[in-house]
Amino acid sequence: MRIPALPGVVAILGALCVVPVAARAETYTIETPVSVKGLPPEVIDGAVTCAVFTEVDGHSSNLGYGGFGSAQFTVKGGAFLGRLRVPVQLDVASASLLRSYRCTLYFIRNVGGERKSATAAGLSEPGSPDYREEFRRARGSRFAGEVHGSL
Amino acid sequence: MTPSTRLLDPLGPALAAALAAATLAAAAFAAAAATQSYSYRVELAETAKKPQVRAGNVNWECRGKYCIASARGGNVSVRGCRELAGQVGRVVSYRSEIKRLEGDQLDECNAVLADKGSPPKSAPGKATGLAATATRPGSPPRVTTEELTFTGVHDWSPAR
Repeated sequence: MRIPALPGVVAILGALCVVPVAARAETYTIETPVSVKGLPPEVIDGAVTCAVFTEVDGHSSNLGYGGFGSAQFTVKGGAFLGRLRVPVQLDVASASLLRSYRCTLYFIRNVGGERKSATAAGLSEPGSPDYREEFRRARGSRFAGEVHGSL
Repeated sequence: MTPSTRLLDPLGPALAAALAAATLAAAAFAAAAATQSYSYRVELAETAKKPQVRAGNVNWECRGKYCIASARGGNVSVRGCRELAGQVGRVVSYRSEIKRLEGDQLDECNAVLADKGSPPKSAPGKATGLAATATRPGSPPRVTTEELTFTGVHDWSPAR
């Protein structure tokens, strides 16, 4: 049997190494300022989830879904003020294909020792199935439970 | 005489036999239900991240914002929902032909998505007060969004 020349062996080994690296999902980082206060004591954590889309209006239509990511923060004294970096794992070949994003604020409550999460909008919007009186918003305060934009 | 037979004895043998038959019928019905196959349908908040996943010991087929499966018994569980949500995304409806998860159970199911964000969680002590930051070293942000903000009515200032 003929033994392949050294350059050929190196090329084959190189190709074997490159395939898993190329298959690894790219991460797209979205930074989101967060300002929450006056939360009820049952809120222990918060989270921001972001989804990205290859369609310009994907943030509203959900068309062209391109990836999802989440980051948490700790709520102390009913408040948190800071900037979260949300690592979004892309399901598309390249970040250059992305056209829009949507990020949503969640609150995580400790209910009888169990963590229960719901959107800030759902918890604080009267009429929502998730609405809870203790999450009513301060009169005249600004509220943004979801932000979206172009990429 | 055992307590149970003492209870049945005054009812007479015919009623005891009827009770036994009813018990057997109920057991048979339960066994049939447990072996019968039911369709499951799940609606997601966003397009499923994977087309085929295994969660809750069931093979799911996902297309767009819906996942379907077939399994015996027709029962639904938060555990199965969490396994599915962790792979395909936030669940807004999780039901079989005969049972469904309610709102609180869906919250519990979707909490797995927040839990998955644990690594970027701000370090204890950094997120206190009003000037904490949860950013971490790593890949630089590609975009910075507008602020997410909420002001509730709970007063946390120290009691005077």
